[in-house]
Amino acid sequence: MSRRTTRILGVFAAVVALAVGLIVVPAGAEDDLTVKPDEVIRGQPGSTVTVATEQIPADLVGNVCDVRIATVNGSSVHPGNVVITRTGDQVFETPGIEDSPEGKVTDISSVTLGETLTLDLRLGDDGLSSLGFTVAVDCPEPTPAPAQVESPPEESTPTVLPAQQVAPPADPVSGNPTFTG
Amino acid sequence: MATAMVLAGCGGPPVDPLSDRSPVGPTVEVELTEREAYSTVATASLPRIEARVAPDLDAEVIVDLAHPTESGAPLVFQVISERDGWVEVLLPVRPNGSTGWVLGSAVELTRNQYRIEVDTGTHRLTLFERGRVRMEVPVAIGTGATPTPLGEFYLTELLQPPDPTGPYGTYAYGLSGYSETLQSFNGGDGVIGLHGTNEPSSLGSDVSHGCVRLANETINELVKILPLGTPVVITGPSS
Repeated sequence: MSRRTTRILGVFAAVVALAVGLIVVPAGAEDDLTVKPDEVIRGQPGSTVTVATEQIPADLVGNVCDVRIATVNGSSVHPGNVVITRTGDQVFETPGIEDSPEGKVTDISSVTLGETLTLDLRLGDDGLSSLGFTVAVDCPEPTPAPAQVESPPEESTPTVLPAQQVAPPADPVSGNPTFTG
Repeated sequence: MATAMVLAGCGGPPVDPLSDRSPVGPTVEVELTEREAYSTVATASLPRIEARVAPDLDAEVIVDLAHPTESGAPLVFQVISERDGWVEVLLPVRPNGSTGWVLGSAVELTRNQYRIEVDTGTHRLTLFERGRVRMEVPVAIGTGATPTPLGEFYLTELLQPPDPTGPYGTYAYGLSGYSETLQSFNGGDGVIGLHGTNEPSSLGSDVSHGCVRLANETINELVKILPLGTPVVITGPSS
């Protein structure tokens, strides 16, 4: 099962050269987007700064995809900074991104993509941020319906498809438990 | 399927202009891979599933399981690994920790973002969502004579007892693990449960026959989100 990754790279000021040096552009690079770096973010403590807004490819709008935020802090510490990701009517926050030196945070959320994906930064008590981070949107590639197999599975060529769907909550069954209560 | 990550880090040249600030607090290393954030659930797609000792049709059959199960729940497994069209799974059979291989074409795979850990030493259950703590609550566990078994299990079924004020509370999950001291219990074969209770005052103590008891309010919340196949790791004080 193939998947398509749209990479949105958000890099703040001081790390741009290093970041560009690390970029490995995958095959199918037409979806890779790079956000040009801003200066070190400064603002009022508690204020929110929009770092980047990126257009979602039209064929991905409405798809349920994984949005993955990966941050790596430097040596400076800015407690309370939060990356806020917005797309469609969904918002999720990635806190603790600059709470400790060299700290790494990875956050994954399954979201229904809207027409844009916006990255905001809510500043903590010192009103500063100097973080490097990446955002990747990982969507399942549409696949044709599987062919009907008439022969018993035991006799067919075994194939395993990677799990794509999220498991739903269990449906309860009425019954008297006999577990070791 | 995994997304390749590019990490843009501070710390090397060019120098972070704010690096003169004094470091505060311990270094945090939270790097969740997709494997850590998610587990995989295999749900049977055939009326019967044979689990074998090796990924080979000629390999010995360990167990032949019915789908749906006797309770009416779908037959599910927690996936350990995949190879050449076969899926290695935890099996809901004795002895605890049994594993086997099932044909990939006989199961449907889904991703699960939840995981439960039960620490019998602290009597706490922790629910993780994509590797992050979502809930931490007190539990009751087995007594010294009928201890809650330690190991890695998963949720196999969800029952709704007819009497929500009974000893199993409002809901009861069955686990893939069994009591190691009771071969049968109450007409069953000693399956460990994760269930509510009509004795909330027992939470935090060693009172059960091996099951893990939760407050009804907690199990009601879990029922809203947990898929069958959710991993349940039970550890002890010395684990």
